[in-house]
Amino acid sequence: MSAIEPFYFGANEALFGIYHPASGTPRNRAVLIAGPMLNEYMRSHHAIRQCAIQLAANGFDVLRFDYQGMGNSAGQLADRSLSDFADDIVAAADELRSLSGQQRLSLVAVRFGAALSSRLGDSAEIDTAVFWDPIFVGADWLAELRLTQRQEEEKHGPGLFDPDLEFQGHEVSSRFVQELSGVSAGPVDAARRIAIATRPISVAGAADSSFEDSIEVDFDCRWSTLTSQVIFAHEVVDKICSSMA
Amino acid sequence: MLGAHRELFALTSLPADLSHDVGVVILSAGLLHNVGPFRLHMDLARTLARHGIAVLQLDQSGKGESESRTGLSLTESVLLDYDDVMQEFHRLGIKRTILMGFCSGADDATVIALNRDSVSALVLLDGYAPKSAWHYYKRKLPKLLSPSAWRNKFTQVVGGLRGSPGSSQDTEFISIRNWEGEVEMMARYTNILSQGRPILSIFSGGTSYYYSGGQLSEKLNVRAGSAPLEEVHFAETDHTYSIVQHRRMLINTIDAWVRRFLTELNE
Repeated sequence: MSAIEPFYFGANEALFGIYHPASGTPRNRAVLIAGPMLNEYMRSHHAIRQCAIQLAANGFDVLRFDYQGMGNSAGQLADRSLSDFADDIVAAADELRSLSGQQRLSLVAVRFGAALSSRLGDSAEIDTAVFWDPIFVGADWLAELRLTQRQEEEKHGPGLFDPDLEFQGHEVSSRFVQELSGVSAGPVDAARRIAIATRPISVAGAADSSFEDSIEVDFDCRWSTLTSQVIFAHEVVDKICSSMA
Repeated sequence: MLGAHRELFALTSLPADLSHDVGVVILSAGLLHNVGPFRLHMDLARTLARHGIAVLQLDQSGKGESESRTGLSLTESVLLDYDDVMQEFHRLGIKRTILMGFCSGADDATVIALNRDSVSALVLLDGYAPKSAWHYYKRKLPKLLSPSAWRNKFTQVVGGLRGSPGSSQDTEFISIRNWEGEVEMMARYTNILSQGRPILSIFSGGTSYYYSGGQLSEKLNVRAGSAPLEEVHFAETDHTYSIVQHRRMLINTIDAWVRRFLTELNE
């Protein structure tokens, strides 16, 4: 029988999620995965799925989901603002607590999912938060996105897209860009915070020690490139799962 | 989740006003999951559903959210996946399909069509095309006139003589795709068309290794009374239509063709 439960949830059942009930010795903890955005979502889907499967086998109930405007969730990216995506994470956390019966959650946040989940501690008690190549400063990511788009413009010539409103193959709103440039978040409030880094992390207030542990992995995810190449990051997935234990 | 063990993932967009007993099945695109590259499959599914057409986004066994089938050949697995889809479609009152396949999915679509009468039409993205003399000259002539290309070739030959590995991009691409010989591949297309099942074959700019335009039609031995083959070349795009405008163009082309096919079917 299938180990996963795909379903729609949230207001107007707009959010698509996949629930992995714990199959190993129950840990009485549930893990929410706040994934990345834009093309990083597609490329990391396999790794995130493997992570969820491994965590469930280790005894955790796991929920991963698609932000509205992405994946199989409703809507279009171009109609959404950053706070909408943060609300999706809060809705997913509520759903996970309802499904699992666990009040205390753990979090895996990937790339910009880290900044988007920074408010989660206001509404949920977070035990362990593990971050994969987290982005906390929106302007840093925006600079990367713009550089990639300028390179695409050089390749294809001008006029094919607006390099300030189309990033990694997706259209976004001008509000999204404006909000992104002003984002300067810190990691979510959690009992333990661990960073898994394949590249340098931009953290608001970089001088402070935001993580209890920071693990470097020698693997190039090539996040900034406009490619469909699937990221097979087994070592990263193993580190995430062992950090959760 | 479909199948006896509920291990095959499929997402169905079912319009409230289902107008046809033909549904579209979008197969896996390479290693990507059912959403498709840059959300192509999701956006196409919703576009078609708005026109009263049921669409199923499938993760074939071993891809995306679906578990692998063990102990089976690739063809057996592909056909069993399709049979599970048809069981679901029958439950919804859908009896026939238009199969859409991208890259390796295009190859799977032709295999399914050859073995299952319920496939009514095919939409193939970056599917097979035979090389033609014109493609050879279009691709090779610039290299013959380029000093740097000669330099690279010399280096490659010397490296080969020294025993270092070398591979042409063409060979790697074709070996990944697991194509049979030209005679066998063209026979597939001829058989499908001669059974009255039309094909829309779209090639992106990402196929320049083997495609430069019109090669399928040029070499196809189409018999009188066969269904039409429509061949489209979007030379300016990349393989996965990463630019939004290109993706919209692709979706509009597929949408228009599917609706035209269904209209003609109902006449």
